[in-house]
Amino acid sequence: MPNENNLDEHNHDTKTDELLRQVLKDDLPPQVEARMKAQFMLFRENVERDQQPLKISAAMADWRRFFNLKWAVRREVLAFSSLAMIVAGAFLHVSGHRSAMAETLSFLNSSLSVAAKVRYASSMECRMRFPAENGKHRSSIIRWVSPDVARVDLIEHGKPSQTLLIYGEDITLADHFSNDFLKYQSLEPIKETDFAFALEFLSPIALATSMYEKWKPQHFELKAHGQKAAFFFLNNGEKASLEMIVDLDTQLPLTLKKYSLGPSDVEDVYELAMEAQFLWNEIDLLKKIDDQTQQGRDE
Amino acid sequence: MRIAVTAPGDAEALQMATEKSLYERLIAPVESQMMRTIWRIVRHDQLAEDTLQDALAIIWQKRSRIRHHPNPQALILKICLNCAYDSLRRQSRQHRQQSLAGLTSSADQEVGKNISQELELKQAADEVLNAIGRLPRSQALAVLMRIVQRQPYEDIARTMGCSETTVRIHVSRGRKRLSQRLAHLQNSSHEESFNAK
Repeated sequence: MPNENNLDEHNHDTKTDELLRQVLKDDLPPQVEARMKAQFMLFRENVERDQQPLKISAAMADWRRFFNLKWAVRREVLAFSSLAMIVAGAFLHVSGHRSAMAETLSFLNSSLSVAAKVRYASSMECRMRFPAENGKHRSSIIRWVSPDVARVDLIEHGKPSQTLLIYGEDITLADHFSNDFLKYQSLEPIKETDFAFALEFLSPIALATSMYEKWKPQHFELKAHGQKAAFFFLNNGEKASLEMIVDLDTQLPLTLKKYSLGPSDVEDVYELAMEAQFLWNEIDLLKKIDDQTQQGRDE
Repeated sequence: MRIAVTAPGDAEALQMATEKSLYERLIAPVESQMMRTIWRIVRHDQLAEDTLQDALAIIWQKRSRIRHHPNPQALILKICLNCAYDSLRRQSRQHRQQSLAGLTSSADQEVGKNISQELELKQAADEVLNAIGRLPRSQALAVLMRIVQRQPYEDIARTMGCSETTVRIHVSRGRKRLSQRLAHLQNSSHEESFNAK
């Protein structure tokens, strides 16, 4: 009897609908409503306050405050946490810093995630370009191998003209044209050489320290369909701005562009003063060993 | 390369004004609906708050898209619904894992100690939520919007970005699956208990 079947099905559907409406009824408890309203208020405050320039003092607490302001956008928080890890220099020896920084579980998670990723990014290559007169540019390559092993090459006509080699406490500056070698006991004298620019890039810690001390975070934008984020910083003293592109997947910086106020201060026109591209190299072997260990544990 | 930059103060003020109006214009009018949408599906204090936070995060990320959407508030509510569905799925997974391990939550035990009927009702409600969480996303959303929220098919189609016919199919298939999975509840005394409550 098809009609009876249809009627049964209809009744069954009606019962299902009623059951759903009964279970999922609109009975928001007042205490939950109050807490959710508080969340709206917090969100609203953050949205309105978020755009104001933030003062970054030397204290890590201010970075945490900055994260709190950005709480609404967790993915960006992750990206900034990588910056924080850089800033803290924590990603080299995370254990001590992690507990100090990670007051909340979410922050701890992000820190662990960043630390895990950065652990394999054991070397960094940074290619820098500086626009010069007549449309030409100077360039250099910085290779960071470990906290105290780095090499900086100044490139002229496609070849290294000078090299700064840092190996522990040994600092050597070599001139490839004159074959001269100069040894230094500290990095202080390097500030007076052509390598002064590189001091901020000799290691992620140096870069982070410089970022941390000199630059104030302004705002961020999502790029490449949310795969990357651009973070903007300002240095009022130097009248310069900085744009850092961070890969939201690996949470590592990809490019850094510095813009300086042009010769005519009145126009508010910023010129590209430096562009740096980062290549983070993974040690596959370490990762494989870790993966195999993890597999073994899972099995 | 030269880039023109407006005075930082002006840009910030403009940005602040824009964000403020975005909130007042788009989110403030649907605050209550957002809360209720999430609560109706999640039905757990802490989880509802977390879900709201997730939803706000996504809304903020997609604010430029929302701003240009023909029906921004419907999109916001859809985001809430999506987040609630995700929470529900997570809950369902946990529920299944707990069932497999023979575990029950302390809340269940507490209720069980007090009133057995309450426990039965709670279990029945859990089963309903669990069943919704196991539906494919499109079917779950269509069922929730149509059956629970009683939205017209036309509005649901606009929110989901598909045709009315597709929505009807999703609702029908979702309802059918739920009927099969919850048949034992409909035939038992749970329904009467729910109605009585």
